[in-house]
Amino acid sequence: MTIKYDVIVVGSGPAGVSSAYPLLKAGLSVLMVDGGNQPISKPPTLDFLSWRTTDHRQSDLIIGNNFYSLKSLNGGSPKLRIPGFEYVFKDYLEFNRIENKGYSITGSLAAGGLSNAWGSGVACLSQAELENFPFPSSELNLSYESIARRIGLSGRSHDDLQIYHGVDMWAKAPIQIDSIHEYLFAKYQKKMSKNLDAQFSMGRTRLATLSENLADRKACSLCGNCLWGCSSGSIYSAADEISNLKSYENFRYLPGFRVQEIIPNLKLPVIEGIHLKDGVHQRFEAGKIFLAAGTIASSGLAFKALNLFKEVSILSCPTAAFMVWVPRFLGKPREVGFGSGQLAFRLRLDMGNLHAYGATFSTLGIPVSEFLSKVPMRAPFGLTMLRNLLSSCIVGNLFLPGNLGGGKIQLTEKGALVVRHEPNSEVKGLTKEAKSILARGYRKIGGVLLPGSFTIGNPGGDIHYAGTMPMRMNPSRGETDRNGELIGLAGVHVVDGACLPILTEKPHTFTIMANADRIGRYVADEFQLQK
Amino acid sequence: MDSLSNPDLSYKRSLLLIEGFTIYKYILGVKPNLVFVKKYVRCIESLRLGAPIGVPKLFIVFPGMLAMVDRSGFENILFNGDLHWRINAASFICESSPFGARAYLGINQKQSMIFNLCGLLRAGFFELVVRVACGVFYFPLYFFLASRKYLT
Repeated sequence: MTIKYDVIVVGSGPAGVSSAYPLLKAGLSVLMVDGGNQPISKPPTLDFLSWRTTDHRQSDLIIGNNFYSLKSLNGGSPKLRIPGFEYVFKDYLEFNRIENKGYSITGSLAAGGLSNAWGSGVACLSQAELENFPFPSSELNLSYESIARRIGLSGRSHDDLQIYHGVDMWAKAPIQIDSIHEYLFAKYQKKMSKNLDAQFSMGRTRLATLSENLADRKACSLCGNCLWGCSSGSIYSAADEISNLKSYENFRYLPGFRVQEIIPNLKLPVIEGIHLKDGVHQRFEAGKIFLAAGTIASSGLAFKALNLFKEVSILSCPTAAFMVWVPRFLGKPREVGFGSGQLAFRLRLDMGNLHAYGATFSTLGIPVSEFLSKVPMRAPFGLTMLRNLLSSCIVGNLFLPGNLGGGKIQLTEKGALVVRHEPNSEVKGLTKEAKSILARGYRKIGGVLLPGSFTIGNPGGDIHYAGTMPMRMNPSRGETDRNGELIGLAGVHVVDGACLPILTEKPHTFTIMANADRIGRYVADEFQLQK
Repeated sequence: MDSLSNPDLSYKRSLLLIEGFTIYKYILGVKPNLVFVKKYVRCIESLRLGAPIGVPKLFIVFPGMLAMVDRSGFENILFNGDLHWRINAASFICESSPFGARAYLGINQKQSMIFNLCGLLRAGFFELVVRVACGVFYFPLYFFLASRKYLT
């Protein structure tokens, strides 16, 4: 038996939630389904140093009572090892039958999707970047504004990255940064700022983290727990929006309904899935289906419905991580402060005529053992070094444009989704150039890029996947049109990262949300016209 | 209870206790809290099927000697490359306690530019000494371990 809705949204992450609002406001009946994983523990409420020095049960938070964090000690972001986020990533590879070959895959079956563990960096695409999209940039600008006002942004600052981020018209004041970042930023502004030709530009990060209260969410309290989960809701999570969506009478939320396939139908598309709680299979029929399950899961569902077995490219940003020592702060006592990205930087890489982007963080919220495992020293000496050095260091990440990621994705005839990595020869040279610009840039403002700290991340480790079913002006089968509608599968719209035609080095989630909102508006208008 | 009814398990567990004790003594330089060692044993039983790596007696008596094999070519020969993972695991376990947080974050330690600089130089100096010693004593250590049949 099938039940009919106007639109079914598959996935409750940032894209799913953003696409649902315009539909609900237009009075359409919407069913939202997701994998249903829920948090089993709460994030710490005390500030980082307080719970670390007093809480005798902190090992449950740091390593987990099943030693979760120790299962994957060898690589990837520390966030993937936080036991409190186990529910976010759990079962994703198995359920979607993903086989990763030299390519890290992370996804979510949780309510709110990957936004539960989001670093919250935001940026708009520039006019030049939006020229790669098959619609006028004004359409997306309207949605950018709508999303920004709904989720709340911070970081407004008159700095060298103001235009590059492009969100300051909606952003509130920045969140207070720690003394090392304050020092570096002051030095940068004094010595290097306004040199528009510079290879190294710096500014405040623009974030979906609140510096002022917004509805039920509180302004950042600078507790330093960003890596461990935000107890005040300052960092945006799509999961927090589900309760708002429920206030619409025409909205139905079905957590724990895992979609297994889309059944192409001559009249209306149908989804079939399984209820997590009782294993019962069910079908739902709708006028439209929005795929917002995350790039890889959405691709799997679409390719299966299309019987599309060819290999396609998946965009993802090559990454690197590094550590900068600021000698002036050697011996500085540990200081609790904002734990997410504090300063952003942009590097102009001459080699590929392109840019790299990144942000720097305090070292405080990250377990020292994370660093110890990577220091090329014997453990006791490494520990002594870190104990004396870390309070005067910051860590950073770096992203290159997504077309360099070298990912390939293919559905096999047996139904597995194989994701592999095809090395891109340009990446090595570009990261080398980026490293040298970073070393030079930080040296000018009183920092030292620590030798050996610059590490290139695993392919796919950025978790910025996109572009498997790109929007095109003249799309072919397996691609999407200007409104994300999948060619070959009428009535199915791809609203997540899978439909982005490009993936820049900038944070991409805000653009995914805006595009989902745009598609939601278009479909809402279409229904209105039909009525 | 399991170990009482299973002598093999009991033997493995005692080896793991010794292993945990040795690794903690090596990392921290002081006698470790038994809580950490017990948790280390549970961790290895959970994630490494309870298999001890077989720490030679030399290192049990002188845990500091582990510096000769930690992050060196000996690690692969002696411990199948698993020593580094076990040191990391032990380190995480220790750090995730109020005692560990203070020790790792240096909260109770005096903080000043001079003091921290001395700490850095000390760490660098000992690392250098061990690296040189590893080069000089590589063959004597190799033959010593081989004569004790620790090397295969």
